[in-house]
Amino acid sequence: MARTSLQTAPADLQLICANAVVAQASGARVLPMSSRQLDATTYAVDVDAGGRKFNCVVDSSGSIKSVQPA
Amino acid sequence: MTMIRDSLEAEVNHGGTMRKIGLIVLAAGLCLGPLAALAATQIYDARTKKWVDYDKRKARQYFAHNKQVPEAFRRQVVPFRTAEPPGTIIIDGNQHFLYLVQPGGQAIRYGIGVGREGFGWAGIVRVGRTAEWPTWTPPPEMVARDPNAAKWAAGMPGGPDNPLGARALYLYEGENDTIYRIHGTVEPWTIGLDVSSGCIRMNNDDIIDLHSRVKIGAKVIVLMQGAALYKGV
Repeated sequence: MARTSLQTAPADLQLICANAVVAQASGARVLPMSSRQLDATTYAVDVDAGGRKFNCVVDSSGSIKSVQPA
Repeated sequence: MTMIRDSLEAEVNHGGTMRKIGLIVLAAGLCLGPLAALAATQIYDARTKKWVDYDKRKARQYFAHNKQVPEAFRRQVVPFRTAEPPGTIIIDGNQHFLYLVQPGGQAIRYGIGVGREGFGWAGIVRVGRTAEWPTWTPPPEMVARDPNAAKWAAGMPGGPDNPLGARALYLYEGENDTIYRIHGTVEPWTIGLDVSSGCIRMNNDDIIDLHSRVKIGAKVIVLMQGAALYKGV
């Protein structure tokens, strides 16, 4: 087993959050910029959409809990 | 290209042409920097039942003893939920994984070595071209500071001693070469570490496997490395 000391969200969950922002991105490129584990099953992902920032919360099953402008 | 923090445009000299690259670059260098440990990786020691830092020294010891990298960094198929189409490459430098999206909610996961502290970057790029046993040409600044690099200023032919390893995927933004590559390595024990100047390195078996599966033009999503630095963005 291996792990990293940075408790970031798994890559697929970061992309699920990015995908959730696409509809609000007006065609801008969307990219996750940072992430962190909130609790055992939930992650926060900060997403950039052409300079506009969004905060996304996703659980480990891939369900989006919230997406809000930062 | 999405520009977020710093909005840094890196001017890079590649092939004699100055180009501006709109990647999110923390520090621009070329891919083959000296080893330096960000040491964020840990592996589980079953004997002591403790997590231990997996730094350069540990990595060398592990590889010398086991002749391979820790299990997590070996090639394997994993569940991967994404709307990205099969063939897309996702690079998670924090976890030292490269994913190649497959059909059916899966991906092939490979272990990687990534940029050391200050050399991380993120962006959405594409595979512009590939090469087998690529030539390595050290950048002028490396030639100036490293006598070993200087003797290859005109280019080191591909081969088993070439630091780019067996294959290279050249990452482009639009029609411009970003200077970043996904390539093999002559230092397979560095997989799982933060060691490069921004390139993504894989062991040679893995880069050969990836090269055989990837199409020119494939989308490459590079997630931000060093998330702790970016809380609050």
